[in-house]
This record gives sequence, structure tokens and C-alpha cells, in this order.
Amino acid sequence: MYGQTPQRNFYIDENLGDSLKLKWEYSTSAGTAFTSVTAKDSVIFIGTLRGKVHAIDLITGKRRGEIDLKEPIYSSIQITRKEIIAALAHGKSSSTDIVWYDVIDGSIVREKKFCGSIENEILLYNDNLIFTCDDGALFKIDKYGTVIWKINTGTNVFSVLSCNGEQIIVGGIDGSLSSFDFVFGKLNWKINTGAAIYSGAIIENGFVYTNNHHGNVLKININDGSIIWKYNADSKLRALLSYDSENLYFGDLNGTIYSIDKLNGKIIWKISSGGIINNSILVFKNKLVVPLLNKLVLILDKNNGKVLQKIEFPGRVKLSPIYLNKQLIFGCDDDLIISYQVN
Amino acid sequence: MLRLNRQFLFLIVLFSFVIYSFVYSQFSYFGRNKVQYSDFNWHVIKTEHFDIYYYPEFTEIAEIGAKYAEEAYSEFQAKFNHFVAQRIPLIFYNTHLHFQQTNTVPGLLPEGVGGFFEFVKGRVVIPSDGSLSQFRHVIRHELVHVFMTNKIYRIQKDHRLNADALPPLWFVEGLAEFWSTDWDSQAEMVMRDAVINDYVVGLSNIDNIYGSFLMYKEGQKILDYVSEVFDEEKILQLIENFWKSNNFEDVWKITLGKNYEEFDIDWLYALKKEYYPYLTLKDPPSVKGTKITKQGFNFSPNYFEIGNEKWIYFLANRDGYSSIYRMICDTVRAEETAELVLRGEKTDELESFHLFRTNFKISKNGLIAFISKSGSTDVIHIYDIKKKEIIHTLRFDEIISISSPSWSADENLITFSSVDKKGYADIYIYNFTNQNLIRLTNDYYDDHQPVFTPNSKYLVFSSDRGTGDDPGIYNLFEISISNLEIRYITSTPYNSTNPIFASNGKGVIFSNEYDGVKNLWLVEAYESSDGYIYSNQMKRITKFTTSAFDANISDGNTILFGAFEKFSFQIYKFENYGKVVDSLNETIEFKFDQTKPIWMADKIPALGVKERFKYQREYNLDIAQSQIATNPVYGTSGGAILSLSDLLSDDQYHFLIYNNAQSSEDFLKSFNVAVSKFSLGQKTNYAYGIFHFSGRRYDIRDSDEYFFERSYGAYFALAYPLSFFRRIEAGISLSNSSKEVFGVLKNRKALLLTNYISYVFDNSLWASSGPVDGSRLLFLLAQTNDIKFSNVNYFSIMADYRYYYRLGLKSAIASRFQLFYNHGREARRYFMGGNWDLHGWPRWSIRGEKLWLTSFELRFPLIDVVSLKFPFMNINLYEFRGAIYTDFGSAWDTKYISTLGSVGFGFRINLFGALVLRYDIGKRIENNLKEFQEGLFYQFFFGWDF
Repeated sequence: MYGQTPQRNFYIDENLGDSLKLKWEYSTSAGTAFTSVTAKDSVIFIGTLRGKVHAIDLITGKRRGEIDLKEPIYSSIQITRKEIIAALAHGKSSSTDIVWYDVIDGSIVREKKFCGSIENEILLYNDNLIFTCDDGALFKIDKYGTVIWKINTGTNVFSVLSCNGEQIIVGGIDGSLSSFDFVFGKLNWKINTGAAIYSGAIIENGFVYTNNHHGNVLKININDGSIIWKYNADSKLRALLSYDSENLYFGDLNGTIYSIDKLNGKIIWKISSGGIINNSILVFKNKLVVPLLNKLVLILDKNNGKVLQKIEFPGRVKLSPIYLNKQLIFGCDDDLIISYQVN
Repeated sequence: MLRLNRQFLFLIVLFSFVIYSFVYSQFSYFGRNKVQYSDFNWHVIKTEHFDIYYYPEFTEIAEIGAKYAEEAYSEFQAKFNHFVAQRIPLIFYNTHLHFQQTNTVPGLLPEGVGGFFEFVKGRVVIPSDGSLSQFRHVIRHELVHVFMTNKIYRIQKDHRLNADALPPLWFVEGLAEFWSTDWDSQAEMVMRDAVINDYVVGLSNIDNIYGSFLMYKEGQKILDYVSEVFDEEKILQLIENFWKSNNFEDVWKITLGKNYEEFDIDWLYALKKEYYPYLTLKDPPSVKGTKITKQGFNFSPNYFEIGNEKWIYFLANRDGYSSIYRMICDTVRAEETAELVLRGEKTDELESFHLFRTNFKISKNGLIAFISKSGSTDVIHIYDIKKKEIIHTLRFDEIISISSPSWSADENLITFSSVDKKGYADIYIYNFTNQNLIRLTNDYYDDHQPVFTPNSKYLVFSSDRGTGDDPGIYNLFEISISNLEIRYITSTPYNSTNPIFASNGKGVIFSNEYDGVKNLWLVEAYESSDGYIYSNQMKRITKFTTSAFDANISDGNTILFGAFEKFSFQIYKFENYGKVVDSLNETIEFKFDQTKPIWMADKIPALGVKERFKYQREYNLDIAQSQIATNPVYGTSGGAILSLSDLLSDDQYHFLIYNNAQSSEDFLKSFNVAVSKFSLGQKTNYAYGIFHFSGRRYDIRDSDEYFFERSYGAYFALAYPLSFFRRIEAGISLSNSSKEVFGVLKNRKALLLTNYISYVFDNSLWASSGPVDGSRLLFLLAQTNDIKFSNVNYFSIMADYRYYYRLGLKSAIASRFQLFYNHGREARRYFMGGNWDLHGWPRWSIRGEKLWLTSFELRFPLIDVVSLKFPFMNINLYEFRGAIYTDFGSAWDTKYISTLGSVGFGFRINLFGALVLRYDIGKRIENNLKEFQEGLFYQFFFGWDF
């Protein structure tokens, strides 16, 4: 899933090697949203804004399958034991919001309509699917598509949901950050961060970290929503935060990349990249992998932000990279999924 | 047997259209000329995101512009959440006069165009006008277009939808204004007027004001409202949701939760709440002032007495041409006494009066100093009111555009503002006695509208050379002519412009934007031995809702001024202003802070420049169009046209290729190819090319009509513009022609050499369906010879004169006199018939080697607008026009046959500015004009009025 876990974690507990070599390229024939690929058993899945789901062989980069769902897919593809789940966005109206597809049988198992358009990351937690529609309705459904509960968040939601099995954290474009009970959907707390949240929140060790469109980064106590500290970045923030044991890492729409101390919100370092950071940074033990919209990926020294490598791509690098099988998988314009072998 | 070429007629038409579009007037029948007066020595600065094209004379301004562009890029990157992956070409010109010479767009650029972004090569083309703040605004405005267009293109492409779709114009332009500049006095003036006078339109009817300045400002105001009420991020969301529907109203509703009608309820109410309260504190100009002019657009009033008669001289556009007018200064008799003094836009000498950009002044003895474009630069004309003629014209080498001339008291000196080759807007004085030109300022601050103090030792002018707090804010300054010392007169964070001295010399009257729009204020002053002492406060004279500017004193206590009300610019007078000042008793103190330095403009730093070099032409594709056609008779055929040009479109290459073989054996010999080069980057435009055409033809101009012809050869043509209105064209072509005529055993070979020379004049003014004023003339001489076999040998004379006698604003009597004469062996035929020329007769049915035609047509407006409301959309069709006409003419080869005629009436409608549909009813006059046809003819077609 996006960010590996429902808490959204972009940390890889390994050192990233120095050598990156192009392994394969795959064309999806349509653009993607600011999401990431997901993978299972050496197959990578990605949904496009044209409405197709592509299954790509991780090793060879060849197509393993493709289904056409006809409506744009903004979220990463969720994967169960034998099904993939895609959430659909649409314009004025549509008959379907979520599709379950059996990859063994090669057929649509079920498709259901719940609400408006789904244009953000959905969550799969213990066979339950949690998602919001653009009108702010928050749903929890079971694996059969039955609604367990539905509540109204009171705001439009375009951000990434996160969950620790007890609480679901939702950021809205009215600047609100809310915690809902995972079992019953009851509102635990709600705070106002001061500006629209487009990125979402991550959960780690009893704390929630989020950012908003005024460039504020906040650390919040997950139990009561109290703000521990607030950091002001230089520009708007749209990408979900990444972290390791000590620091948070993120970039803004002016291209500045930051490392701040998780404990106290103080800046460790920041550098200017010249691009736009619209998706999450992948964090290794030693390095950061930063996707930029100015067609570059930067590999930075995590300790000081020094640029160790610059990889130029054919187009804007939109997907948050994933690391699998010693491969770094990126996605960029025009319609490309690209794998680099790491040595 | 019809030639297969008919299937490719569209390709040839398209090819011709492409050439026409690229060549506009120079190689077409009439038309005005885009004259390349200047030889631009183009250079390039490559910054991080831009390729900036400029010429070395104004390097400094170009480097400042580069900095503005990179700053805007950085800001818009975050605002749009988007990265423009391609480098953006920015083309800078140092003045609007140079900007009008650009070949990046094929047509003529009106004065109202302040810059543009074009889609063929993604170029942004911007003139500087001497004001850095305006330059910055235009750069930002156009870059908003670039980002928006690029982002929507990517969104559509990612969704695999139509990538050419764009939002409606009001949104596109409204966004460009909203994100490029602050809400300014001009915008406020227009919106206040629209709301108070109840002509503002909501979103549901915004098509009614399509393309107008009001639409631009309403678009900007709508987005301002959305930003305030819904949040500015909603604007970006509108763009990011663009893929969700082909109908922008749906996107609007999805994003904001309201359709247009629902939005209008709130927005229009909010406008009323905002602007209606102004009426409690202020008044429209017509309430407190007295309106003098009543029609057209009128500016720059100047009072002058001739004997006992009190006249107002002013600049205006009342009939489509900007001109100088005068009228009696009497509110009752004014309009009926209005008369033209000098007509602009019709002659080489008075090409344009820059209506919105400058004013003029009359000296005490009746000499009008005014500006016009004349050739490559602006000039100052001196018109003697008593002699009724221009007695002097001043043109200066280093100066390109000029504005705001003003006299000294003794008429020996004239001061004005000018933009020079460096792009600096500075103040000058010309001395008539010794003919010296003195430059008083020399920097990039925008100094303009200078006037002499009553003692002629100083100038008062408006300038943005303020302190660092308010870069781009204009205040009034005084400069000493003797020692060039400059000092502040006003110091407010609101623009102060258009200064004049009060008639008693004890104050300066000017416009200030203190209350959001221009109103008139007074700074008191008196002369001392050390110069003028100015009060440190300004006193209010007018308190209008919309505006007052261009002030001038008439007699003693009366001010003449221009104002905007009910969407028109008119002239008003305001009496006893001294008493009004006292009664209003409203003053604003100036806060002078001499400790702060004057602001400095930053140029692009050295590190920000990746490369600098002289421009080298690199070509890329502009148009590529192909067609394949198939039918059961002629089989399949195909062809294509391609056009390439360099970045500045000074050099263009056009390729046409198609094949019309009817069998495989014919394939190689049925290739039709034409390659042309057009060179437009210098004053003499020229074109040359080679061609090979082969195939069956049906040519009504040829006496044989149906034949197979193979011809190949080359041509050269040039067009030399004598002025904006006149040009000489010439050309030569050599083609080897081999013709087989069907039905008779005739094989004609010839090596044809054709020469021609022509003179073209065009100063016509167009209404919606065709010209209504001015005249057009084409006179051509040509000779065609078969220099090898002597099978062809004829000369040609073409004379075509059209004159339009104006009756009213949109009505005229149009006349046409044509004589086309070919004489000699295998002379080609001219043709007429149809509602483009001889109404009522079958289209192109009248043919002959000689042809004459005379037409008279009364053109008039019928219906201003027809609105069609469908459930799914509204359509407005504007300007149904009528015509009553009569035509006479004939065509013959060797013996004159008969004079034909027609009489009738017709209707015309211009569809969306692209096409005129015409429907005519009438009677033919037959048998040498002796009898009318029985019944009526009815003809429907398209095409502009002659």
C-alpha cells in the first residue's frame, strides 16, 4: 500500500547502495496521480487516470495484465490475498466507486457505488476498507463491500488517510485534522491546523505528524489532539511527511527539502532543489530519495542534505518511489514506470 | 471529366490559407502592412527556465525582465503546483511600436494588445512601455497563461481527454489578471461603474460581454470573490477538476457547490453591498460635473478661445478612427457643434494618435502639440488652429515613442516624455529657437506627463522614482531645468498623475487614486525667489464614484476633465472648483521620508544566466496537416502540407505535397510538390519557391477549361511597404508548362515567364461584415510570355478601386470600380457572378479576358443582437446587417457582348468573427440593361462585403 503500512511509513531500514542502473521502463499509456505503485509477489500494480490498472512484472518490466475500469484511479491499488481493489474518481456521475478484481480468476468480483468521487488514498486494514469521498463522507466497509459505518467529516477530503487500528486520522481542506474511532467511527477529537491539508497525516509512536498549505508542520498527541510543536516551512506543503527514528523529511512547492527534529520541530538542515516536491520522500538508513516535478530525482545524504546523485527523467517524477527487491521504482511523465537496479 | 484536384482543393485552399495567414497582407489582394522598420539584432539570454530574446539596445531592461520572469516562475510553480517542463521563449520589445512589428503572429497588432502568449510555439511576446511595474505585470500576466495552459494540457493528457480544451475566456483572462497584479484603479473604476449603473452581468450571462474589457475585469473580480469566500485554493481546484466535464459550469458546480445561477445570486449581491454605499459618500461624474460630450470615446480636453467663441479641442474616437475634434464649450450646443479637426489613422503622416496613452496641449496662441505615429516612430506635430494646418513636425533619432507634449508659456519650449532605444521613459525639452533637444532624465524610472511651471524654469511630472517602500507607485516631482535637481511634490502610497498648473499658478491640479479610483486633487504652490514652494498636503477637488483625469483649466475656475461613466469615456466640466475645495475641506498630508533611498530594480544575477549568445535561426514545425481521400471513381489519393519557421517567424518554409495518380503507372508523374520560403524579417518582404504540379485540371480561367497539365518552375515575389497603408509588390515566375486538352487534339507546350508589378493602398475601416470607411486600391501590370515556343503571350492590367462613403457609425455607401484586362495569345480569363460581385448571376459564370464591374451598395445595421436561449446553452448573434445594392458589368474575350446588371437587397451576419453569411434577393438586369429578369433570384453564400 501507499507508504507500506496504514500508518504511512516511507522508511526503509537499509542502506541505499551507490550504484543505480536503469533496469526497465514500462508505459502505462496514460498519466497517474500523485500516488505510488503497490506490489505483491513480484508483481507491481498501478492505476492510471485513464482508468486502467496495469500489472507489471517486477523483474522484467513486462506487462502481466491490464484491466480497464474506465474511470480515473487516484489511489494506489490495494492488494489482498487474491484480489486487487481499485477506487475510482469521476466527474459528474458514475455508477461505481470501488471495484474488487480477482487476479486469479481474472474477473471483477464486485463493484459498488458509495458516494461521490474518490480522489485520495484509501486504506486497507484487516480486510476493512476505509476511504473518503470528495464530499467528505468517511466510510468503513468490509471485504464484501458492506458498509460498517459512514460518517460525515464536515469538510472536503483530498488527503491521505492513516490508521493505527484504533484511530483513523483525516485531514480536510478546511484545515481540520480529525481522529475517528476505528471500530465505531465516532469522532475522538478535531483540531484546526490553520490551512487546508492536502497531504494527510502519518502516525508514529503515539503521535500524529501532519502539514498544511500554509507550510505548517505539526506534531500532535494522538490521544487528545493537542499540538506538541509547530514548524513553519517556507512554502506550501502538499506531500505526506516521511520519517526515521529521529527526524522528519519533507519538501515544499518551492522545492525546498527539509529535515527537522521529530522531538522538538527544530530544523536540522534544508536545501533548495529548484523543483516541486509533491510526493513523499523515501528514507533509507543513509540516504533520501526525493522525487521532483522538474524531472529529477535527488539522492541526498540524510545527515546534511548534500546532493549525492541526480537522476534525470523524461518527465515530471510524480509517484512516490518504492523500494523492492533491490529495485527503486519511479513513475513519471509521459506515462512511464521506471525501475532502477540498486547495487 | 473532372480533375481529381477537386478532392485536393481544400489542401490547396489550406496551403493558400497557411501562406496567407503567415503572410497576411503582403502577398494578398488588399490589406495593410506590418512594416519592419527596425533591423532587430536579436540576442538570447538563457536563464533557468526561459530563453529571452531581446536586442542589445535595451539589455538592461531585458535583464530586469528576466529577473521578473524567474521570480514569477518560482511563485507560479507553487501557486499552480505545476512544473512547466519546456523552456519558455520570452520575446521582449523595447516599445509598443517595435512590438507591432513582430512576426510571431501573422496579423496586425492593435494598440490595445499589451502582450500575448501564442500556442504554436508557446512564445510569450511582451513590449516594455517605459514602466517597469507595467512590464512586470504583463510578464506575470502572460506567465499565468503559460502555467494554466500547460497544467490543463497535462491534466487532459493524463486523463486521455481532449488536450486542446481550455476554460472559458472570462476565466482565462480573469485568472491572468487576478494572479499577476493587485486590484488597481482601472479595474475598480470599471466595476464600480458597472454595478452602480446596473450593467454588470453575472456568470450565467457572461457570454454577453465576451471579449470586452468588462469581461476581463469581471473575471478578475469573480476570482477575487471566490478567493475571499471559498478560499484561493478553490481556484487551483477549478483547474485540477477541469477534466471532470466538458462544460465548465459543471466543473464550477463540482468545485464550489454552486452552478452559475446560484453563484450569481451571492456574487451580484456582494457587489451591490460593496459598491452601492459609495453613492452615500460620492457621486457619479455627471451628477456633480456637467457632461459635455455624449458619444464615442473622448479624452484630453483643451480649452481655447477664438474671438468670442469658446472651444474645447479633444482627442476622440467617434467613428472608428482616433482623431482630434473640437466643439463649443457649451453643454447644450456642444455635440451639435462637434467637428473634426484632424483625422487620424487614414494617412501616413497621422497613422495613430495613441488614444489611451497620451494627451495633447494647446499653446496660448493656438498651437496644438500632439503625437502621432508616423513611420517607424512617433512624432510631434504642431497644428496651427488659425491656419488650420500642420506647420511643424518633430522627429528625433534616438526616440521611439513619445507622449504628453506640453508648452512653455512663451511657446519657445515644448516638453514631452519619450521612450528611447534603451527602453527608458524620460523627459525631454525641445527648444524651437535653437532646435536643441535636451534630455532631463536618463534612467529606467518611468517619468511622464511633464508640464512647465508658469515661470518655465521647472517641470512638474509624474514618476515612479519613489522610495523603496512603494516601487511602482507614481508621485509628482519637480525638476529644475537648469541644474536637473529633482524633488518630491507629493508623497502618498497612491498613484498621482496628469499634473497641470491652476490658472492662477498657485497650485498643481492632478489625479490621485487615494479612494481607489482617480479623482482630482490640488497641491497649493506659490513662487518664491528660490523656486516654487509646495504645500505638504493635497486638497480634494472631486469626489466621484468612478474617475476624473486629464484635467485642464478652461476659464479661471472651471476644470475640464475626462471621466468614465456608463462604460464610456466622456468629457465633463466642473465649475468653481476653488469653492468646492473649500467646502469639501478634505486634505491628506504627505509623509516625506528622505532617509529612504530610491528603489532599485534588480537584474537577473550573473549566476542566473546560463548562456548569452547572438540569435541563430533554428526551425521547427508550426503546422502539419494531411489528408487521404478515396472514392469509387478516382481511387485513393493523399497529401500534406507542412510549415516551419524560426522562433521569431521571420523566416518561414512551406511544403505542399500530394499525389493524385489514378493508376500505379501514373504514380510518379502525378506528384504535386511546392516548396516556398518567406522572409519577413526586414522591410522588404520576399518569397521564392519551386513547384511541380501535374494532373487533370478544370480551370475556368483557362480558355480550354478541361485539360491535363504538367508544369514545373520557380517564382520570386517581393512586397515593399511604402507605409502602413501602401505598398509595392512585384514578382517573376518561370514555369515549364505542358498541356493536353481533352476533347481536341491539342498539346501545348510553353516556357512561361510572368512578371508583374502592383501598387496597393488600403486605409479601410471595417464593420462586422466588411468595410464602411476609407478606400482601397489595387493597380497591377503584368506580362506573360512563352519564351520558348511563343504559344502564350499576353499582358494584364488590373485596376480595382473601392471607396466607402460613411453615412453613420455603422452605415456607408460602398462603391467598387474594377477593370481587369488581359490581351494576347492564350490570355487567361477573369470571372464573376454570384453575391461576391455581380449579384444574381450564376456564380463565376461570366468569364472573359476582359472584365469590368461597378457596384454600389448601401450598408446599414438591422438588428443589434439576437439571443437564442436553449435549455443547454445560450447563443447570441450580433449585428445582423442589411444591404441594398446594384451592380453593372461585363466580361468578354475579343468582342464585347452585353452589359449585365443586378439590383436587390440582402442580409449579412458575422458568425463569431470568423465567417460572414450572406443572403441576397433581387432581380437581374439583362439584355444590355434593358429588361429585368422575371421573378427574383435568391443567393446564399459566405464571404465578406467587398
